[in-house]
Amino acid sequence: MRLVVALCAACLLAGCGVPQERADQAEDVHAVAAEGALLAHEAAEGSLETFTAEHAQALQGLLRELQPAIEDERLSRRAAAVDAALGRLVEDPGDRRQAYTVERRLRELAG
Amino acid sequence: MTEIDLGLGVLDHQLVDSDRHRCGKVDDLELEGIQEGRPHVTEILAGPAWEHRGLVGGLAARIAKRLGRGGLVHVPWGEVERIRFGIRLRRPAHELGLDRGEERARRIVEKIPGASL
Amino acid sequence: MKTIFSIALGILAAIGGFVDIGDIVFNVAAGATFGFELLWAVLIGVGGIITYAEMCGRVATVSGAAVFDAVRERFGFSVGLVALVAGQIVNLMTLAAEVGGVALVLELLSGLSYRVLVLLAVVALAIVLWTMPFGWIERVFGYGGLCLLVFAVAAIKLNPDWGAVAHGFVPSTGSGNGWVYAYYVVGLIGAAMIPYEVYFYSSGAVEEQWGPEDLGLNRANAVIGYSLGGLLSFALMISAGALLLPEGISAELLGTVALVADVPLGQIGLLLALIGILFAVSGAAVDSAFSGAYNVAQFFGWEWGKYRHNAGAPRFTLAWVVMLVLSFAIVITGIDPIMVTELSVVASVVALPLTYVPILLVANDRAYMGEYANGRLGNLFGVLYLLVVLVIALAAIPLLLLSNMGQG
Repeated sequence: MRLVVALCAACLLAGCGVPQERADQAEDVHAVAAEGALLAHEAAEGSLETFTAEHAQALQGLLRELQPAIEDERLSRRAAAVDAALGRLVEDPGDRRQAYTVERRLRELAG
Repeated sequence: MTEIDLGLGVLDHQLVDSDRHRCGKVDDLELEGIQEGRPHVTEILAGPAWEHRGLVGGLAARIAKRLGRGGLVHVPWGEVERIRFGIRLRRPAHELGLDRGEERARRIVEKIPGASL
Repeated sequence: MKTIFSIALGILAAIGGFVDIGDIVFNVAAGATFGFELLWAVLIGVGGIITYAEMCGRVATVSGAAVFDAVRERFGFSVGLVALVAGQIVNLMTLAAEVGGVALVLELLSGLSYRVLVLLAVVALAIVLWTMPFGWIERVFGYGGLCLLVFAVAAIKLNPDWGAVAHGFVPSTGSGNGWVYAYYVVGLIGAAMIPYEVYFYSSGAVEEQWGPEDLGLNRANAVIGYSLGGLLSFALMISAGALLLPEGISAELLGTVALVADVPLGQIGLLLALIGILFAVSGAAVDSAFSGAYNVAQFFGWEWGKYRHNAGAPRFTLAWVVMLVLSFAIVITGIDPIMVTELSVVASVVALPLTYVPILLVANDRAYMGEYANGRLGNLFGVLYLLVVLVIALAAIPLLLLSNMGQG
């Protein structure tokens, strides 16, 4: 039993929790884009800048874990676009007009 | 309840001294008069006296001895004042030698400012 | 009047102190994945902690024996030591999860580096534990945690389908992946019944020097305090279910939790959510560090308790210092705190029977408890939850594996 737990722990730590199926990967990219859109919307309304930047960065982190495993070209480009859009929130979380544009872009990408 | 039942009933219970300070657990018991058919408890043992307390107990006792914490304290049964929610002793822990572990730790803790908080 | 006031204050502290990082992670993730379908699991968990805590509080009040006094007395040295080691591993994992959670919240608020904040968090906790009297600790973190009520407001503002919400309180097999669903059931019950809560609660009864006249207070604290605390868990799941599930957003980040209050309520909602999480999780860190110290001190018979002051219970004091240092070592490796949280909840579910059983036995022992032993109602719940505890303890690790840690 302990061996099983140890194997599982090693597996989890190695990141084999990253989905390999295209459908699951698309879901994950969608989830990040949708959440990014919400975050951008709040930033456009005026939010805590540090929170916006930090959370956008964390969302980018999720994407970057996923990206190496994506084989489908279109999905890969979409993920990169989401990453880039989030990057604008990280760089300038206080720019409300930009946040509004980022929100529209992320809503498009979320599909 | 015979004395021996009482004695066994206090195993693993809390020792409390006359100043109402906790000073260890009843780790083992010394019995006499078993041959004569009149067993009674003569001593309480406090400390790593766990050799007779099961497999894990024996292991724990060996580890404790290796760490140099082999000090056993013998508390004569006569020192027990009463038994209810803890084994109340007649004298302070210090007089019975039950405070050595705590004193060692206190010397460290007292060095830090705010130790009386 | 004074008693009612102090009961109310105690209840407020219990409400705010109910939620920890495990509740936050599991309730929000459950909402994002299954909407309102798992509310019944939280209800079961809340019933469990009420039953367990009330028994522990009663035992400690009547006999001055906290959890690990009872464990050693009923199980003896060997089995008791196994229970202690298991309990301590779980406490340490929980503490590490809470410390990581504190650092994550501080990161969202300050933008400072995670590792720096881990150090800051541990040092700040050490200062609090060293200097603050017990009563203050409970109250400060408990009241601060009340900011989490913002999630109740958020849940209402998000206008969920209240029919579906009501439906969620009825046990069902849910839609979607069965293994993941079952994993969440175990996780939600486990997160609600997290062991440090009872270690802390029972030791707290002795810290506050409750006597038999306080048994009413014990019951009120346990029943009302934890019921209302459970409302916070419901609020987390309902608001997550209302916002995240329709958008297809998964909940893997602490920032997502804050966003759930941000979207319906704006900046003020975001701020209250972050502050509430900070106090609730910090409070849980304090409680679990102390619980580690309480357990080992109670097992070996050392002097213990904040009411004895640092130098008055030196081995107890050194014990919580060691707990903090060890948790620091774990968290500073950069391990994902959310994963540590999930593993700590699973581990605590597996170890739960080891401390639940002796408490149930002691609470029932008329020779020990006299007129205060479990009545028929107490035993009905006590035994019912024994079954629940045994089932989830056996199911936890298989479900962790079968559900791929809730990812499916």
